Amino acid sequence: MSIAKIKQEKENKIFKRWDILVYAIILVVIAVLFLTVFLTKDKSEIEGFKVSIDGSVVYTYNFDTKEEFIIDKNIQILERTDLNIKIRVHLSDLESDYNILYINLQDREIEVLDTDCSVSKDCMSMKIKSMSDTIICVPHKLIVEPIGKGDVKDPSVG
Amino acid sequence: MKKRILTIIAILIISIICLTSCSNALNNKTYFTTALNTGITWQAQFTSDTSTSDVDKIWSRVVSIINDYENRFSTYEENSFVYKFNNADAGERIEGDLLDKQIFDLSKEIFEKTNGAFNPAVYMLSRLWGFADENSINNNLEAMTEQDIVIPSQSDINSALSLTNFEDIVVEEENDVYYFTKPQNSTIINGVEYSMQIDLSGILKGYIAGKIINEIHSSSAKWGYISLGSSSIAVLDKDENGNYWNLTIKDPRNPSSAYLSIPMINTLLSTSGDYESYFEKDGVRYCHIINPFTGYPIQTGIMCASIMYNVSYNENEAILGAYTDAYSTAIMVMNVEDAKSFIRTNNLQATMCYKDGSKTKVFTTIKNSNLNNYEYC
Repeated sequence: MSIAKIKQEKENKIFKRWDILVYAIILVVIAVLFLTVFLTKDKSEIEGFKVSIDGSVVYTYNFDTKEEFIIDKNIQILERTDLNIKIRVHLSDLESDYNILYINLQDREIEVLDTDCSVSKDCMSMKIKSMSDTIICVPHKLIVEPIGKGDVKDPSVG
Repeated sequence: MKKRILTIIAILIISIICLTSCSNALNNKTYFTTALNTGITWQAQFTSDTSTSDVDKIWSRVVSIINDYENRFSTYEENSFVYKFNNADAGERIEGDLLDKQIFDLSKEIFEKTNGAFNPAVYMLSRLWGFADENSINNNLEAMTEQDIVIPSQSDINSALSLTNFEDIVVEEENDVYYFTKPQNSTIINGVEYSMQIDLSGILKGYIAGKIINEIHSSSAKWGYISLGSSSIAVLDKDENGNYWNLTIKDPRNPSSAYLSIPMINTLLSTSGDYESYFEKDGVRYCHIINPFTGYPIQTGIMCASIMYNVSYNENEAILGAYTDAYSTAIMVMNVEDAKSFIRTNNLQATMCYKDGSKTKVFTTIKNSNLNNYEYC
């Protein structure tokens, strides 16, 4: 095969060495950017949570901004450290009818530590870890819900 | 060489577009909340600079509007206008304020426009049929067998029917105070004397939905919807890209699926149906919607009806909402042909699902609606 023929063959190749390198770099950049976007999404899935009694919001917490919204007559802060917050949610000013919530700031989790709602204390077995979790205490009409960037759900009537 | 450079640039542009669209989707915050006892559901989207406390203030305001109106026009709250009216004697005058007058006038206007098909004075009949009181059949169905259910006697139905003369309530104004005089007639049912009793909840959910859509629209929430007990819904824009919500209406005989879906934004819609609250005896379905002309639960063949209005946020939404709510009930009371005629005459955006022999048919004037199971008539 003549040198001219070899040169011709090289020129006819679909991908040249430098082309492949450039394409590879682009692919890596895209992959890294996509991974960054999706990993960020997972981490920020729960931005915070809200506590409501009988439909009225009495406490919210945002894990990102550390912003709190507190209705004093219903909320008592029992403990606050860099790692967790412990709050007592009252239905009224009375000592009874309470739920104690434990907020794990590192893992972004919320659970009920104690309550006097019923003998079975069902709400103590509930925990919020992701957007799909909810804590509901029916006797106290208390709902703890995550706040975040969930999927948009279409409405339904009837 | 030029070709290669162009290819690389194209790939980079496509990648940037993909990543930008992902980022935009993540910037909006979505909130989905259900109030436990009131059956209110809201989903709202806010721009990323909206704080959670701002969102909760709006939500608290929404709940407060709902509670205010419900308490004010409740049939069981002792301080409510409706409770005082229902517990007054025949011919007695009850004091009210401007809001009581506005809600009453709206009810009367719709009562007249529907030729009495929407009648707030059927409350005594609702109680008689077991759909109103705490100890009613409807609230205790799980603990009852078919034998436990007692159908009211014709004479009791006739007695309660005599109290549906809603047009005979007289309203007078003296120094900005409004006085509502009950009709003079009363009747005896099971040895107890009763006078007219009303229930204004037939317009209230829609009215409140209209109030709320204005409240939300004037806040930082520009996209979202709020549903009141799944019967009245207020829908804003879906997102900044002009996408539509896909609202689904439950199949009346298979409520876990939908019979119709409607793409919509900036809309108020109310639905009435014979499937949420009913009991069966001897193969007959008795639902909570009472026909004010016969005194019996409706047997028109119409299983559900929905009315919708587009909104333009001009403070007229509460009235439009009231109309959606009351008209959807009134249509359930009419026979199928009268209902179609009423919808056409009033140029309504409506849909209804009804039995025609063994077939289930759908009549709709809503453009772009998508039918799932049944056939259009």
